[in-house]
Parts: sequence; structure tokens; C-alpha cells
Amino acid sequence: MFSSALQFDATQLPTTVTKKRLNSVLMDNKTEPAKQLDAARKPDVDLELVSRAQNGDRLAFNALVVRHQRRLANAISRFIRIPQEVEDVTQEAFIKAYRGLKSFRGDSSFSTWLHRIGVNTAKNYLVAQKRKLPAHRLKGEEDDTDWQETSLAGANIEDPERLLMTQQIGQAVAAAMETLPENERTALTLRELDGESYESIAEIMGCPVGTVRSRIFRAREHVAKALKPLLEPNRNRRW
Amino acid sequence: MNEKLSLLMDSEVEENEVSPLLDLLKNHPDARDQWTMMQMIGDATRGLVVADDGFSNRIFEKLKNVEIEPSYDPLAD
Repeated sequence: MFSSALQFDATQLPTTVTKKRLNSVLMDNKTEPAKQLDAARKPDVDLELVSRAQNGDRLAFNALVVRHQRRLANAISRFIRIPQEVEDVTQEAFIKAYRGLKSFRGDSSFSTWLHRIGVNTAKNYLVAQKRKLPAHRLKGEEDDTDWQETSLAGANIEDPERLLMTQQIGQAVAAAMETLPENERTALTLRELDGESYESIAEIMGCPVGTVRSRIFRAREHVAKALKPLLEPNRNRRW
Repeated sequence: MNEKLSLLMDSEVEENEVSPLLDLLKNHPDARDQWTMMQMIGDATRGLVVADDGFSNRIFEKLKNVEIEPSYDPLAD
């Protein structure tokens, strides 16, 4: 009944993007009903950025790179262990995604589409290098939804300078999170770690959605303040 | 501006707010700095490896020489 009500609404929706988003949500049978409704109501920023990039806005694609680079590299690092090779394959995956941007029609999320490209690129790389897939990848674990993230502790970082920088950033974020008021830390954690919508967080925390907005924003500002001194030397890396 | 970008990052803005915010991102380096910072915070919170080592800028440099190819399907490559 729930699904058919949504399907009926889908025919009344005004934009192609919105219809695609709703269809994508409906096709994802792992999504809980409450989240399906939340997602259907909100614009998908990835789809909007893709739409702009498809029309020649390179900065829109750069914004997608900034948004997805680490998760993509993380996914690729489960196939390829050498950090420089992970970076090369991640770059290649983004280049393929950009070249083929017109073929992305929003049938899946951009994140899923990009992940598939990344996994294919990693596999092709290993074939070209005449190397085998890691043993745990031979058991069918490399499916398209495999976005599980590895921790910093499990990361393979060879460059000492990069390792230090990574540790400093991780420690600064952890320390800043520790000093957040409990309700701000909870709101940010529910958002970033659990991927909850603001409406769900409001329900969980028993407060209005507007309060959730403020808490998440204040929490991010607090963490950003702690990170800025570490990032200042690299201000020339603006895009 | 920063609070709106925080909402945009989470796809928690209204439909009619998206376009002006993406214009802001396109036209203001400060907004892009903020976008970068917030993505970094999110990734670090999720336990991903986060280093401010110019990784994304190296991707942007490569992308400068790449064009969209209407008939290319990366999933078939």
C-alpha cells in the first residue's frame, strides 16, 4: 500500500530529476519506508551537480570529485594495496566517469554508478598488471553495494609525511568531536555515521528539524575551526 | 552562507534553493573552501583516510584535458 501510494504520486511529480530520484528510492528495497519518504521529498545534490556537469560546468564535476574522492579511493583500496596505484586508479575512474557522464541517466544513485566504475577500473588494472584479485574479493564480495568503509587503522599509508598529516587531521577531528556539546555530537554522528535524514534525527532526538539543522551546522563549524590551522599552509590548493 | 552549504551537502534544502546555492559554489572560492572542509569533516568522522595532500587538485588537473564523450559508456569499458 505504501509503495503504490508513492507510485501514484510519481506520475504527478513535476520534474524528470524528481521522478528519477523517487523511482531510484522505490527500487532500493533496502531503504526503510521513513527514509524513502524523506529522500523522495528532498532534492538530490549529486543529481543536480551531474546535471550541471553534463551541460559543461566543470566546477560542478569538481564538487562531485571533492564529495566522493575518499570513498571511491577507499573502495578501490580493497582491490589494490599500493597507495600510489590506488590514487592512479581513482583518477582513472573519475576520468572515465567524466568522459561517460552523458551515459549516467539517474537510474541508480551517482554514488553507486561511480562505485561500479571504480570497481571495474580496479579489476581491469589488476588484469593489465597480470595480478590476481585479493582472496576476499574472489568470494563475490565485490558487489555494487559494497561501500563499507575501512578505518584509518587499516589503511595502507607508505608516505610518512602523508601518514602524519592523516593522523593529525584524524586526531583534530576526534578531539573537536569530544569537546562538542552532547546534543551536537549526537546530531552530527547520526548524520555522518548513520546517514540519517534530518527528519529522522529530529524524531530520534525528540526536537524540531530546525534544531537539528542548527546542531549539525554548529558541530561542523566547531570541527572546522579545529581543522583550519592544519589546512592553512595549503590554501593554494583552492579549486 | 555556510549554514546553507551545510544543508546542501546533506541534500536538506528545498528544491528552489538548490540552483542559487550551486551558483554560489560555482562563483565563490570561499564557498568551495567551505564545501571542501565539510566533506573532509564528514569523511574523517566516518573514519576514512583524510589527508590534505592535493589529491583532488591532481584529479582536476587531469580532467582539464578530458571532454565528455556522448557515446562513451564507462560501465562497458
